[in-house]
Amino acid sequence: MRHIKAFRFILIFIVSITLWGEENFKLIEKWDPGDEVVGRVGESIVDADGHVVCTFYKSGSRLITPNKIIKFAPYGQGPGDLTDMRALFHFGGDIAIVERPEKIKIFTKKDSTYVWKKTVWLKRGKFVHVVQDAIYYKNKWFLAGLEFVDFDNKKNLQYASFLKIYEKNGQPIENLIKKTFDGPHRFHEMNYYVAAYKDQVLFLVENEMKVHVVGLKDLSIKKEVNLETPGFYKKKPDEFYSPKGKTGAGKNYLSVLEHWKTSYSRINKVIVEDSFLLLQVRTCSEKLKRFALLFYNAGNFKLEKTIYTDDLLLGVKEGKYYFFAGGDPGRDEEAEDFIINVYSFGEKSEKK
Amino acid sequence: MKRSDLFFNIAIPVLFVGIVTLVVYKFIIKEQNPGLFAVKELSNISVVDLNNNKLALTDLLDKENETYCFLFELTNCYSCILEGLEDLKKIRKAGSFCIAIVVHDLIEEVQGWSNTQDFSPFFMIKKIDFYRNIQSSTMPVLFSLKGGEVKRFRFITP
Repeated sequence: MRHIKAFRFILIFIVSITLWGEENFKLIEKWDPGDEVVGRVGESIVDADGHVVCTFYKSGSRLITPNKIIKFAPYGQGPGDLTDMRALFHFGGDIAIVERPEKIKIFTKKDSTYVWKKTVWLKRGKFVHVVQDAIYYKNKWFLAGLEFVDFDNKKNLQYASFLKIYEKNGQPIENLIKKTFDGPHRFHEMNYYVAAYKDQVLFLVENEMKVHVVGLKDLSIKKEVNLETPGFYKKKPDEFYSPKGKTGAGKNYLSVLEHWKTSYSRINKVIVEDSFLLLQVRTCSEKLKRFALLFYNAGNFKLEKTIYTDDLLLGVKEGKYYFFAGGDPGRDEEAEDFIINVYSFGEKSEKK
Repeated sequence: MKRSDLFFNIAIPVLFVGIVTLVVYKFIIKEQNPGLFAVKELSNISVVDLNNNKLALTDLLDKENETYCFLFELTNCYSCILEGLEDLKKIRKAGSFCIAIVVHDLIEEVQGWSNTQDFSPFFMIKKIDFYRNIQSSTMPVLFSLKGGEVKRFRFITP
């Protein structure tokens, strides 16, 4: 009897904590800037003014404010143009964009829009480097994504690294998270994330609830921490990324890829904010909302809070959480209208 | 032999051989297309060095021996670009004069990119000059010039 009471108390406590989080996470702003974009969300961050910089796979880059959407940069090879946008991150008060694996462009805000400030060139390796995320931290560039570092054709081996570190001046220092492949794979299709907290850099892969912690003193992997996995978590089988005996893309590759990206609990956003490591993960559950925001303590990686939402997280700034309403416009049918929802745990604030 | 038999005995085999020949040439033998690379008027081509000085390409060439040029765009396949530059280094070791030419309109971009490479000299040809004076099926391309003519070329593709 005592056990049942204790169990009931714990259950009520957990439910209360969960509801406390949900109840306090309130919609404080709704933007309807009145434009249409096509394609799924690529990269996104919130700038110093609380505006969203975002890429859409078929529409290019956009600066989204409460009242309007403008092009961030036109397509082209000029200094202020972009031919590609592989990663987007803060660089001091400016915004840095990895245009190509060897080229980072810095844009600064001027008269409510962004203008090119400078280009940083990196001395890249010989082989393919699929950059998926990047940060600049403590005078170093950290690029996350598959890079082939060598091949052994006789043994049919591919040597790869998933985190490359450069000095401020663009000289490569270290390749971390190394892996050897002995067969066909699709690891270039996977998303990789890099974030910083205090004296460490955190690296995550979309299909692993695990943090690789890189120490900044000697730039080595200090530890790997398995994150607490929520009950809804639908683990992605490994066979898509390491198809045994299959080569090439195969029929219906893109639709298969979309199925794998939306049918399993992959991590689709990683942010360090206010001493939390925040992950957004697809729930893939009919009983729950589309995504879960998992708030892990960035110091000990304990799961402290879970919030469920149907909206896609774009970025966080000073306690405000910016979302694309209804999910990913390229992947979720409910995300057909261009609405930005801003949530906060605090009191309702005035719309900008 | 009847006239009709003679027709069948000669005409049908001839027709058969004709059809087989046509099929073999049309569908089975694939002609190796080496691609097109041509320089129209070498004397018209000007390039820009990394200090933004405009130069005639002919002034850069070795007057007596072949000069090897590697022509590419910064958006070409990166491994192909590196292979071309590595080939230039080897050709240079063998004693030939070698240059790399980037098709671009902004010298600052070429300057920045070239600083990440272990090769020099780099030059830039503006896109308009490229289109007016050079025909190339694909890029990058490594070619040699001597006496105002293209002596040999090789496309470096994935």
